[in-house]
Amino acid sequence: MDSTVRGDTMTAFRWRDSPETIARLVKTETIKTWKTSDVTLNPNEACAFIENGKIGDVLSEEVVRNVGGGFARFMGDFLGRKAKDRRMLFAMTGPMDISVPFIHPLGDGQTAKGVAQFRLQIRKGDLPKLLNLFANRPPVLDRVNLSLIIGQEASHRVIAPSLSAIESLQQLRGFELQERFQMRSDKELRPLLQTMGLTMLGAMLITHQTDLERLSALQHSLRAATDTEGAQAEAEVQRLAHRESVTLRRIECEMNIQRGKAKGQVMIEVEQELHELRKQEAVWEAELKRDQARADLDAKKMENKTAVAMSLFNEVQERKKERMKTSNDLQESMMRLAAENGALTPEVMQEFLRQQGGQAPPAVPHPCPACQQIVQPEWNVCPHCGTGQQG
Amino acid sequence: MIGTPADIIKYTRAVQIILNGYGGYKKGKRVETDKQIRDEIVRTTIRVRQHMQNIHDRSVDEDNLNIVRNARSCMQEIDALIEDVDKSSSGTQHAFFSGQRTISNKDLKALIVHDHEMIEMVTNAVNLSNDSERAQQQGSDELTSTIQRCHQMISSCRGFYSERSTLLNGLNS
Repeated sequence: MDSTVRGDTMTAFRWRDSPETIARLVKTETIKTWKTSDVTLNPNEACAFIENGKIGDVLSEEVVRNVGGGFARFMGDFLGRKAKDRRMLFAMTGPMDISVPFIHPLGDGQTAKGVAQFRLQIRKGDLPKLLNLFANRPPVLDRVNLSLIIGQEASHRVIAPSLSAIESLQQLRGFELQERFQMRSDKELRPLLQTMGLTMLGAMLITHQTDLERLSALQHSLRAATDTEGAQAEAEVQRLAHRESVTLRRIECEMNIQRGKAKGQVMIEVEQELHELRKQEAVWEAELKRDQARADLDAKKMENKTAVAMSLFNEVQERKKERMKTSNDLQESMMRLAAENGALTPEVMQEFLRQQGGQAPPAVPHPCPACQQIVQPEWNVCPHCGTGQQG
Repeated sequence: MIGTPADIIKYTRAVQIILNGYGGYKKGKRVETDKQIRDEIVRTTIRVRQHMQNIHDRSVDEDNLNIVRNARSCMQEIDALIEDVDKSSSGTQHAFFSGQRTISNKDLKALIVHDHEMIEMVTNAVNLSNDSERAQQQGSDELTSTIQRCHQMISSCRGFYSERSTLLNGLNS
C-alpha cells in the first residue's frame, strides 16, 4: 500500500503497488494519515464498501473522497462516533491470465509439461463475492495466489482428464484438444469460479516440447544440416565443373586460335608455293606449246616429204606400169608367136615368168617333175620320190 | 432542468421504468445517468450470457460440439460487448475555455432515443437467448439458428453502441 501527497489537503490512496495484484481487502482503520485520503478508481478498477458487515455500494470510474485517515476520522474514532467495522474491497475488473503449471503422462508413455492458461475476469457486480476468498486468506490476492487456489481443482477436474485421453503428439497439438479443454474448463470450473466472483472468458493448454518432439526436432535439424552440407557440396561440385568446362573451353579456343594461325600460315605458304607452281605450270605450258608447235611443224615437214615421196613413187609406178605394159605387150606377142609356132614349153614359160620382172612362180601346188605327184609350193623336196626342186 | 422535450417523453418513461433511481438526463447529472444506463446494458447482457452458459454446459454433457461452438462464439461476443460498454466513454468535463459545448435538447433527445433503442436491442437478445434455451429443452431443430440470431443481435448491439461515443463526443457533463 502506498500513499502519495497530492496538494496539501488530501492524500491519494493507492491500493495496488504491483501489477501482479488482483484484489485487496483494506480496513479503513489501517489508513493512518493526518490528511484525508482519496482514491481514484480507474475504468478497470472497482471498489466495494463493506460497513459493519453489510455490503454497500460498488463503485468504479470515479474519485472516492475521504476513504480514510484525516483528523475528523481520528476524532470520530476517539469519540466512538464512527462505524465499528469499515472495509473496502478493491479489485481489477479487466481480463487477466492465470497460469497453472502441469506435468502429466500421456497415453503413449510420454510426459506432457506446460501451463494451462485461464483468462478470468472479475465483473463489477460480482466484486463482493471475492469476500469468500478473503475469508481465510491474506487480504492481498495476486495472480500467483489465484493460480494456487484454482490450480488443484483445475488439475484434477480438467487438465488430467483432457490429457489422459491423448495418445499421440498429433492429438496433443490438435485443435480438438484445445476446444475440448476450453469447453470442459468452462463447465467444470464454473462452480468454483462463481463462488469467488470470477468469470472465465477463455482457456488454453500450452504444452512445452515433449522429449520425443525434442528428439524429432534434433533429428530434423541434423537432417537439415546434412542436407545443407550436401547442397553446398553439390553446389561446389557444380561450380568446379563449371570452372573446368570454362577452362577447357578457353584452352580449346586458344588451340583453335593457334590452329587457325598455323593453318593460315600454311595456307599462305601453300598459296605461295601454288603461285610458284602455277608460274612454273605456265612456263611449262608455254614450252609445251612451243614444242608442240615445233613437232607439228616437223610432222608437217615429214608429211610434205612423204607426199613428195609418194608422188615420186606414184610417178615411178606409173612409168613402171607403162614399161611393164609395153613389155607385156611385147611378151604377149612373143608368146603368141611361140604358141603359134608350137614352141611354148614349160621352160619357155618359166623363162617368160622370170622375165616378167623376176617374179617368183605362183604359189600354187605343182606336179613333181620326177614322179608327177602334186607338190606344195613351199616344199623343197618331193615327199614321194625325194627329188629336190630347182629354184 | 430536465432536458426532455415532449416528443421523447415515451422514451424517457421507458428508460425510467427500467432504471431504478432514474433522474433523467439533468444538467450536471448526465455522466451519472450514463453510468446507470451502461450498468443496465451490462446487467441485461449478462443475462444473455447466463442463458448461453446453460446451453453450453448442457451441450458439453451431450457432447454436441456444434452447439458448444455456437454458444461459445456467442458468449465471446457477449464478453466483447460487456467490455465495450464497461470501458466506453461517458464524456467528461474539460477546461472552461476548451470549446466544449453545453448540452442541448437536441443532444439529449438523440441520446435518450439511442439508449432506449439500445436497451430494446439487448432485451431482444435476452428473448432470443431464452428462445434458444427453450429450443434446446424441446429438442428443436431451430436451436442452432436461434443461437446464431442471438449472436447476430449481440453483434448489432456492439455496432449500435459504438455510435454512442459519437453522440457524447464534445458534450459537457
